[in-house]
Amino acid sequence: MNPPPGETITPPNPLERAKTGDGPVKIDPNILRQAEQAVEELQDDYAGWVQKDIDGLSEALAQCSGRP
Amino acid sequence: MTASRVDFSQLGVMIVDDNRHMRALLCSIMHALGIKRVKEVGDGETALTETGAFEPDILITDWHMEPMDGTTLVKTIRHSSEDLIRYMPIIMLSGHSDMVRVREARDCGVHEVLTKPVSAKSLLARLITIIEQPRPFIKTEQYFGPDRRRQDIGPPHGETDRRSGAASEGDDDATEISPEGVLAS
Repeated sequence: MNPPPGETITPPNPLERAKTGDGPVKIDPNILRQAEQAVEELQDDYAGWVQKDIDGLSEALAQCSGRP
Repeated sequence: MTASRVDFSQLGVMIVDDNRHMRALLCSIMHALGIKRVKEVGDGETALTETGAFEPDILITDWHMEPMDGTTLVKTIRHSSEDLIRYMPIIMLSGHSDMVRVREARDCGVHEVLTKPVSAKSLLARLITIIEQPRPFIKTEQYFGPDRRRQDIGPPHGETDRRSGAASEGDDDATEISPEGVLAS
């Protein structure tokens, strides 16, 4: 048996204000490049962050091991 | 009709993730897109507390968090008495891409599901889809959230429909993401 039909609601779209122009949105390659660049720049930091986490966990493990 | 662009500086985005590295990655992408209003929080409960004051246009949330996880956060938002919050577009991040998990996220009321690792291109595609193709909401006894039937609007902006292999609009001028441009959380 099919479920009872639901009510369809069309809420206002406040995000419409961010659209410039009336045609379909095209991805701005410059913006995408900037975002990719931002990710690439973080990659250098990422290894350091993870190492810091690992050091902290290792230290905690060592402390626990020393206290039976 | 001329092609449109999105002025991301107009938007406010809240990022909810218990992993600070993931938050840093997402914030960095948001700022690079030109989004000035970005709020990051570490769990669902804080997100709910901060939502009223910050009034995000879009919420990006992780799935697995404590004490309140992403699905509970989404369900709570969908039950809000305030329209601005209840209808808020939500992107759920998940480390699992299997259909059961995607369906579970969809059924709790999210607009888009994004599997990790997150790339700038996939996140941008989801944001544009949300802005350009607002979905009506469906209210039944069991569900309140965006219309879960995607067949009429196709895959996210600039991505390929896995069923037909056809690309959606915007694919032609989208740059390919290199493996180096992707970070796992």
